[in-house]
Amino acid sequence: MISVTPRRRVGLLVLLLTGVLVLLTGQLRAPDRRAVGWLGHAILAALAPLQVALDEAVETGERWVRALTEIRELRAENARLRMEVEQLRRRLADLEEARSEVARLRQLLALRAELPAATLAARVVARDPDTWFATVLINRGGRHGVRRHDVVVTAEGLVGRVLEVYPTASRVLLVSDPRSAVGVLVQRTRDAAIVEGQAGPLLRLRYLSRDAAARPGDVLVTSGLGGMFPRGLRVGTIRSLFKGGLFLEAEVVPAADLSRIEEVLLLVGSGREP
Amino acid sequence: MGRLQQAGWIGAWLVGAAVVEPVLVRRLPLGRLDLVLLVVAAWALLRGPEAGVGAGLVGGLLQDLLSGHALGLAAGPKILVGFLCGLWKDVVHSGGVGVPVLAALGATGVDTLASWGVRALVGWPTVGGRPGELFLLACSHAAMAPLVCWMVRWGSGGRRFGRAADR
Repeated sequence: MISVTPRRRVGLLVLLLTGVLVLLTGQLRAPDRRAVGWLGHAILAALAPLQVALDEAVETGERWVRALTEIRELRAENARLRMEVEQLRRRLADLEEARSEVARLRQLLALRAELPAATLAARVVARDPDTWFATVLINRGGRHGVRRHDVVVTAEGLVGRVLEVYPTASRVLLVSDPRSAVGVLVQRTRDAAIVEGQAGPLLRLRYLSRDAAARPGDVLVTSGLGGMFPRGLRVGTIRSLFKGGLFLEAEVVPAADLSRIEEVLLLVGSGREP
Repeated sequence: MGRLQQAGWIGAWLVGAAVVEPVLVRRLPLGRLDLVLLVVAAWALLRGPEAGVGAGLVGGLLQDLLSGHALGLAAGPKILVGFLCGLWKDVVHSGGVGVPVLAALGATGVDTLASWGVRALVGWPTVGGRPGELFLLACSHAAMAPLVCWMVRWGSGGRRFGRAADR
């Protein structure tokens, strides 16, 4: 092997650097200060396709990596959106609930203006689980001025009367309870009768005169004759009439939806012992 | 390995580095990476200053051709880097990864300074990175240097770097 002295090495370096400088200065006058020459063009022509192919291969690889990354991101985003939808659904349900409550309270307020007696709004907090008896517990009691036999109504009509009074709550006997009896008038014909509860969704109209001209669809209102309920409160609508001994009887659909009551009005001081 | 085979081997590496470099660089957040510099430095460490200046000349000219500026702007600094790294062949006595890492750090500094010098000499705009970018570039080169050195050495007889390799 040929031995290279340090002087020769430096000489080689200087020679090459000088050559490069000459090459550089030679291009200063060339257009764009670059002269590649035919050899350079040939090399570029050979290498350009390599670069294009390599770039395409890398691009394809990047697309695959991007696709894989996006799938993970999309899954995460999907989970996040599902959670967001669930939260929005819950919020929507809350808003719907609030809207429904506002509508009911507005109706109660409108009714309050029409009623002659002082009223007290109350919320149903518990329902009697026994199907034979129909009572609900409301969140107003003796401390709020509630008395036994105070009448309870909703915007739709009569609900019942206060059965028991506690300091901060009261139990209300619904008109659908078998212990309940309300003196009524057929609003259209003014025929008197009594509506009794029968532990079910429908009420029973009794003691209606056989001569009465009542028919299905007629509205029943409180007669005020018993002294317990004020006159003119809607009780229900006759669904079907039939003969019952000496009198006519009828199935009555309650005016108030007793299975779904949530807010009620108490007619404070309306309660009288029968 | 004969001289012709060696020339073919380093030529292939230089062409590969010069072709891959522009494709990779435009995708890197750093914006700069000099693979040719690493190959020249590795070859010089392996074969000495004469082989280093040769690799520097060829690699630099390839870079000049593919980058679109005047021929010689990259070749000059690469020749210098090849020469200086080649001198380490007789100075460094260990064959660990420290040699390529240090060589890469030094080569980055020398190449940057020499590029500024050559550009200033021939009146080209002396665009260069800020110190922070240069530091990142040097770190990237240092991180890649052992791998590049191993790959360059792999097909050229498996010699270790430095004098210890010659024992």
